[in-house]
Amino acid sequence: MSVRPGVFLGSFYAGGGSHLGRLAGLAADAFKAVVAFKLRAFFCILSVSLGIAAITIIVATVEGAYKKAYDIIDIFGPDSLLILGGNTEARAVTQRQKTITLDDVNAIRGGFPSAYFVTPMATRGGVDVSYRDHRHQTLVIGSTSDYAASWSWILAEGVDLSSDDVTGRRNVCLIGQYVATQLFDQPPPLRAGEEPDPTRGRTRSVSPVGKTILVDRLQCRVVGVLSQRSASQMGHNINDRIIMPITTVMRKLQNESRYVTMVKLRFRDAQYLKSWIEQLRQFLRQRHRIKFDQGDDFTIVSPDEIIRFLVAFTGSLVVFLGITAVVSLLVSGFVLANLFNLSVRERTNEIGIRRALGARKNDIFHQFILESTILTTAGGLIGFVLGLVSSKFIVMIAEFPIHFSWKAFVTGLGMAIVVGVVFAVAPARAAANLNPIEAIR
Amino acid sequence: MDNHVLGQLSDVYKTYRVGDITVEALRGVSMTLHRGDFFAIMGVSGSGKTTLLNILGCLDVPTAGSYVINGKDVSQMDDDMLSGIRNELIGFVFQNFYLLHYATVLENVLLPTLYKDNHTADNTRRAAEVLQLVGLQDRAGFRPRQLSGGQQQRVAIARALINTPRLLICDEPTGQLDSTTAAEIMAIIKALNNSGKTIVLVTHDRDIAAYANQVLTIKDGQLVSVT
Ligand SMILES: Nc1ncnc2c1ncn2[C@@H]1O[C@H](COP(=O)(O)OP(=O)(O)OP(=O)(O)O)[C@@H](O)[C@H]1O
Ligand SMILES: [Mg+2]
Repeated sequence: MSVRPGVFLGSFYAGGGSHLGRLAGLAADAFKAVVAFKLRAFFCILSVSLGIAAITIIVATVEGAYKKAYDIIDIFGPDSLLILGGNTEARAVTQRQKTITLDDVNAIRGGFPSAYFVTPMATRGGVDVSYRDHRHQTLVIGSTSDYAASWSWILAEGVDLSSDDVTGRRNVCLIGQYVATQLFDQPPPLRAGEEPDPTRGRTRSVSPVGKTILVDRLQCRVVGVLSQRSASQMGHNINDRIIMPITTVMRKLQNESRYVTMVKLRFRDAQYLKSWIEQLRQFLRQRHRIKFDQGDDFTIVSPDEIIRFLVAFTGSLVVFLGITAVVSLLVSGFVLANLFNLSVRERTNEIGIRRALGARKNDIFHQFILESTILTTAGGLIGFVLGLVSSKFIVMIAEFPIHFSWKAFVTGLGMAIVVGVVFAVAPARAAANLNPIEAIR
Repeated sequence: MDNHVLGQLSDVYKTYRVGDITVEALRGVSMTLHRGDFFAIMGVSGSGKTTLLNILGCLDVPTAGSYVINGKDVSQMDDDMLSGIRNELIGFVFQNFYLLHYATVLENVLLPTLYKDNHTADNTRRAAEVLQLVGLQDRAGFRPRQLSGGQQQRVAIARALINTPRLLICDEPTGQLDSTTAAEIMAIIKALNNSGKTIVLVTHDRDIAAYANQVLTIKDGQLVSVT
């Protein structure tokens, strides 16, 4: 008598409903075995978690780099361009850094009506500043009026630079939080016999606003204090700066009447930013009378370029970590496969009993795949935590943008499960194909 | 076919091949298992007792001849179907108990239910029932290593019974036990037979064989006498 297909299929589908139940039972059973064979569990979890920790850090690093890039662009402004004097890409020794004039700035204002914000800046780094006996070195930025407003940088106290400050070349300034701390905060009072400790919290008893500080050799009145802005970028503390009228900086600090350091532009229709860049480039080349076979004597920095720079910066590290991760995953995979081969050999008897009691080949196969997956999942979870903790150390040692999100978590866990399934296939198949009568002899 | 016939071996041969050497472990064995039969099989070491049990228990299939169990010929079944038959119709009791040391008594007893196709049955209640039957209801949470040999064999019997099989295959179930404990185990097996289970048991011990209704002797792979 042969089995009719209908009956056969019917019984197949009738069995289908209990497949999940069967698998759930096998999973619970596999869990017991996982717990029972502790040494195997320990080494499986250890090796997998190290690999997954590496993966987690990589994903978090890539994400951190992109997030940082977008954060910076957020501050920079997605509709913004920066024109710098000199060509940063092909910097010839003889090439001048000062190429952008105040006339250029005015011409751009006239030629690009859709640029709603055209602001020249003059900067000078490493300037000595002092207030009474407090000394500090900082970056001085010369700006047009309304610095805080145009950079959407809230003032912690005081007022913004006014247009009168600029036209009158007044000796006034806004100071960043870090400068305020350095110049105005007092270290905690020393008790008798105590050494000064720079790490102890400083306190500010006076408001910097209205005080006169010395910038280079210039008496300068503090009119406002900028609020704290999120930490630092690429090792550069953005709260460490002083803002003065551009006229004051050029004339009194730089001894300069024409050239500005850079120009910041913001465009009303940011979606055409690419074409604005090109037009701006041609406009400046024409004004600077650059021949067609010569390079620009200025550099235009766009949001795209910032992203490219940051990604390139993190790229090499990511490649290094990526190789480490792939290697460590392969290693953990082979460790797993070997431990499972041993386990199958050691548990031959158990497999024989299970087969005698009615386990199908598939049940045995699933049992070992499940055991392995449970172990690697645990390894994945521990690896994620390990990655989280070790990245804290990485951030402490090398200031580096690391960002953890569900993506790092899911990638790590997914990889762990894949390793668990893939590398357990061979031992699980060997277990399933054991001859039951040999296995229980 | 007779409704009471559970299994039918007809002229069964089993040949093992190891390298160039072939071993004829069974040579033309025929026997019929009826519901409620209790066979004891005796014979010297290497005579083919375990081989016969393996075939009766669907752990192995004949090289030649036929074995029909529950109306179906095992030569027509694939590996999964044989597993299903073992799971539903057959219970095994081994000389070495073969319990999982990392599982509790209850978990060991429940093991065969893991491979059952319908999960509708109340397995936990059934487990309590069979543990009660072998007198170990208060040892459910123990590990096998915390039990005596006799107790471990009782657990194995409870495990063999949980899916209410028709046929119980026992390969020297008392081989590891002292005579008092062996008698206790045999009392349980005898009681099971009295309640209708078909039993095939291998032993070297005449006193144990005496519990059976029929004693078969096997010599060089052939049944030589039926008592
Ligand atoms: N898997 C196998 N491969 C090769 N030969 C086998 C295999 N199983 C059994 N044999 C051989 O078949 C013969 C019967 O073996 P079997 O295990 O059935 O004997 P037995 O009667 O159960 O012996 P014992 O009383 O020692 O358990 C023996 O000669 C044995 O060597
Ligand atoms: Mg034997």
